[in-house]
Amino acid sequence: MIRTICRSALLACTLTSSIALALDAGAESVENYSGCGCSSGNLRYTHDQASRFIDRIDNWHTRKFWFADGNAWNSDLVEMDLNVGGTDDYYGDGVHILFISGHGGYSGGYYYGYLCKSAGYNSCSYSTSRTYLGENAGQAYSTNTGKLRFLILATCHSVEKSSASSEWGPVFWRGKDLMYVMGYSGTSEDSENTDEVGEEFAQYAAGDKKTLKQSWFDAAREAFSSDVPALITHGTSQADANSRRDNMKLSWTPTGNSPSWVAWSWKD
Amino acid sequence: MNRHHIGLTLVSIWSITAFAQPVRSPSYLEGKSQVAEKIANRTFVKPIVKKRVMDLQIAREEADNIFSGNPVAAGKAKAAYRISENDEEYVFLSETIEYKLSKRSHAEHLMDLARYTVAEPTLCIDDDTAHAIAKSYVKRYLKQLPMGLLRHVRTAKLMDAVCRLGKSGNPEGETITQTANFEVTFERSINGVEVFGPGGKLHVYLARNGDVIGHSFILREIEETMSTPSMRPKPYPEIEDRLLSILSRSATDNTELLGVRLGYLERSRKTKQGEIPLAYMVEYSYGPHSKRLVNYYDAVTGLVLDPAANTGMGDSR
Repeated sequence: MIRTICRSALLACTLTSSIALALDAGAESVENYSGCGCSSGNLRYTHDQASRFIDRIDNWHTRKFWFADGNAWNSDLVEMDLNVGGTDDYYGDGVHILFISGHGGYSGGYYYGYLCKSAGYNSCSYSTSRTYLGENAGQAYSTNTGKLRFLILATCHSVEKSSASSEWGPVFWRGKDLMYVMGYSGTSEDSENTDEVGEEFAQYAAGDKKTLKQSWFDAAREAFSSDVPALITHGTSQADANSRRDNMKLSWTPTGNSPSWVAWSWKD
Repeated sequence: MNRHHIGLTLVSIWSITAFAQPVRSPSYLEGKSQVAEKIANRTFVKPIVKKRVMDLQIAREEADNIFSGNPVAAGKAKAAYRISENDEEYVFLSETIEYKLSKRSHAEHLMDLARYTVAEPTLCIDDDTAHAIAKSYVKRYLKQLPMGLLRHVRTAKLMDAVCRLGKSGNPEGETITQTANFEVTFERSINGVEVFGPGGKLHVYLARNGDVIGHSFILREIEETMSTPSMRPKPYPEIEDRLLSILSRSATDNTELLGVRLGYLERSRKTKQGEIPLAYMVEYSYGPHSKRLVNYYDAVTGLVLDPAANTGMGDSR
């Protein structure tokens, strides 16, 4: 009986703390690619997307950084423990929720994001071949464990509807704490129509406490571009993966389970 | 410096100052000729948005109508609604029914959140049936909207998929997909001219069995006295020159002009618009790993209509 009460109290305590827990949030965006020596072609609204995201989510969670142009580094999404110049432990994997806006592509089964070069990582892109996000102790390259749970990649090809499972399954496998990735299938738009997407998502997910699925699809719908919003998560069974995809909110915490299924969605 | 050196120097200067000329796609060239036809010897109306007040009392009246008479809300929201308000909108929430009214654009959004983005275990209707149900819903329950001026533009589906992972997280086995919701979209025109941007749209949302679960629209009311044609657009080539000048600073070898259209730009629900400008919408891309860029130019003045707010003063490292 006492054990039951303790368990109940612990559960209540855990739930309360998880509900009240403020997440650490970061954002990075590039418009001026030519200014950092990269030839991807300059954009106009990615700073609007990222800055409005971080300004809005700051109402409920903790703003850690918004890096723009030459300060937005590809290395922030590259595993530091690989010793190739990655800085993810301080930045990309040093927050719970990360918003990235810039160019993106899909090639050879990997997602490629395009931010800027940095002194220790002289490349104009990063790819999911070198991302170990949200890795737990005991997983590969976990000398420094990861923290990232929710990743928003407001770029092209970040969650491909026809190959999302192979694009993100291995990344989830490498990092048990990474729970949910949101982005676009195919190309995404850079225009005044899309500049509110980050802010809208922050409002719905953090302010209105809606599910991540509703928040991301609603944020993308507001823009009414021809973008195809998409998202992906994982679970221990088919039912678990489906349930997490449909119901997960920012208040959810990692389970520490290895993924056995992935569930994803898109609208087109 | 001999002649050979002078030649090399000139080539070097040319390679620095010249930029890769964008490729013009077939759809762009077609759009350009359609635009030329559209504006030939013609003037366009200047749509003025009707001034309407949206205050709490009006919002409450609208909400009362929805919660008592609309099938998405009526009967399902048994508890009295709660009202919240921010700078942008009034939000009415009763159980799973959410109804929002925008202060600046009078845009409206109604949704049964318990059924949205969820694939219920029922049989699924087809796209044509979804369209027919949506049309009938608008005629019956959104009578204030000018259905005659709205045309169906697409029936989108929210799709769910799931598959098993094998060793190292690689997928194995079959991918199971199903439709969760339908989103049927209608778009308005003004005097026969298309309206683009986030506004000018009506969406009707359906569960997979065909039940309507919500709607949303951004359709600003336009003054009826605006019908005198008064605007003559600049020819598109003038705008194209401006775009090429901008691209001369950022184009890549793969830059491609994808399309151009002439229409009215109706903006997002958060934007207060006194008039709806006639605009050129130009789309281009920098290649296979590039976003699709969309620029809007005022068709009469030629000015850029969509300046970005934030030019990049992020945090220091």
